[in-house]
Amino acid sequence: MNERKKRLRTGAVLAMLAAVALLALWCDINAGYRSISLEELGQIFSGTASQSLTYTLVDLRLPRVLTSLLVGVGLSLSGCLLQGVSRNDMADPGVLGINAGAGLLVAAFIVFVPAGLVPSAVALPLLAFAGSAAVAFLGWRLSVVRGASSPRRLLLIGVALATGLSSATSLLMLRMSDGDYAFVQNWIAGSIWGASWGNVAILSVGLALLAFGAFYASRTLNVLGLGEAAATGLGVNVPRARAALTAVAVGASGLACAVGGGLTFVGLVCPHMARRLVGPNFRALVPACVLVGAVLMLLADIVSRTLLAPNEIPVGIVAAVIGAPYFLYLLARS
Amino acid sequence: MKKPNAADFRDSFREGAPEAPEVVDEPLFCETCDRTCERFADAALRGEAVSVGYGDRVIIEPMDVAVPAGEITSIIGPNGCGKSTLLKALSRTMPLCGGAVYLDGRAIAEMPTAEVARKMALLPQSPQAPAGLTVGELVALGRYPHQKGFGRLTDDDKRIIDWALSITHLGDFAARPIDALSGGQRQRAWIAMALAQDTGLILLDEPTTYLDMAHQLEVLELLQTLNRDQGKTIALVIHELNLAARFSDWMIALKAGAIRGAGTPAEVMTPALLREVFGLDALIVPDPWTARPSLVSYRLAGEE
Repeated sequence: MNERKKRLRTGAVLAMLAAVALLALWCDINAGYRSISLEELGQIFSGTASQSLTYTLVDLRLPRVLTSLLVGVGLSLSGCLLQGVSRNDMADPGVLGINAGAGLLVAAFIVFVPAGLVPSAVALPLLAFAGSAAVAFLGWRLSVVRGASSPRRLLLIGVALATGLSSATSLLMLRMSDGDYAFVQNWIAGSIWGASWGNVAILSVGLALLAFGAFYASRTLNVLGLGEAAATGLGVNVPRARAALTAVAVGASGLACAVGGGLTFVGLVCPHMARRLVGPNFRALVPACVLVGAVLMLLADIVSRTLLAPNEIPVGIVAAVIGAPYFLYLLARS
Repeated sequence: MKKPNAADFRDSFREGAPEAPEVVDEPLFCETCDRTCERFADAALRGEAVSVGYGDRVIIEPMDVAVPAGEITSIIGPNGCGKSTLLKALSRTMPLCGGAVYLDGRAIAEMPTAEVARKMALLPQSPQAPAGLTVGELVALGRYPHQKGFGRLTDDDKRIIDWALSITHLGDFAARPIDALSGGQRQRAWIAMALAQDTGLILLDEPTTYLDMAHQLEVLELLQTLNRDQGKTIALVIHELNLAARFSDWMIALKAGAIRGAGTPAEVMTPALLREVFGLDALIVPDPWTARPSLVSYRLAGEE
């Protein structure tokens, strides 16, 4: 039967994606000044490895690699939901202005809070998340006209907010020392800088919940894809469903942004790649987006850490350099 | 569920009428068609003093309107007369300025939207499916209001989906993407989705627009089959007057946001009404095949 064949194919694609993600994870763990063999990995787990090896892998490499993976998942999931809710292929977390909001707060923290007063490893992720959530909420409030928001208005207002907030950030950056300026510039370009086991734990729990929510809502997302009137006709409370799913999207990208900075391109391209692989049905698309996001960010992380080692290229730039040509290729083919 | 009795109904159609005595068996008087009629006693869908507009702009003047149960109702009228708006207002896809809509006698505004969707299906004008969505997937979405949790299709769901596909002759197309279908097939796929919703009432907004004559007929014959064999109540907005007259039991003619006539095709398809509603001089004769009124020729009505 045709339907069954299709489902089998989708399952196979997802399994392959998961395998690719694992492979990329392994490569990323191995990328760097010191590579780690399977044997050494076993030693680390059994506790017989040397202290320096354990330190390199457990304290430095793994949190960094897992953070990259989770950032990719968050952005891709967010883009997937935003494109679904707005029925707009160009939607991504950056378009809502939430990265710009996070960037502004991060820059303001560096300018106005004296160094050493609050540990930045704690403050910056919190501020970044608060900035994204605040801007998303502001954009949503502004988009409500006659008691109803429309995705189109939400995106337009997001673009305006992003532009305004970025300008404000640039203004703040003019007052910075060279070191601070470089840090914020790096942050905006997208760098994994909040890598710690604590952040990995928060991100994995948060994103697991959000991804589960998105998967649970996949049939509602499918119905929303038919347009507002048809979705209402099928019994979806469209404003409520949109608000809830947008909130999930903002949560996912806010978490990613808190430790990964102003990466946005990942959120735009990953859903397109995933759709190419499994089609528009969100039942398959949500898991596919999670996996594609993980793979793309792991690949970007490998390049970012090895290409100019020991210097690091902001991973957002690498992700864009990898993603853009593929994106153009997809658009040229469709 | 409370069925409206005749007295309730007459009140709703008589604005500012004095307190009506409790008489149930009295025939109904309907101001929209200016006469007594029984078919409204158990209308499937009924709007009372329904109005729609933005700010000062009135799209639908307060009107009483009913979709008789078990029949095919066509809403006709010139461009911009508010006929699609009326359908949207009745199907809760456009907010009302005033009045209320009743589905099986219950106010829609007070029903959960999923419950409404289990009783009334809606096919919007020129609906768009996401690229790559297959016919089978689209039709399966029709089960949405009946599903819970993750929405795994039950055997019941699958049976109804298969039925909807087969009655619309799309059984062989289930795995085909919607965007690869012809216009007529695509319209049938959307109708199949509405059928999978398994409702007694189906509203369709211009289901024949952009189709050639043969495909228009195909869609209307399908609707007629559903009406006759499955007892579905159907209401549609349609531009083609001859098709409306041929397939409808009831017609509602709108102009400038107000009902100008409602009745059987023979009552609505008259030169006087077409002149009033469309500004046309119409030559109407009985169709020799169907005996329904048929517009043979027409010209713009001259000034008088």
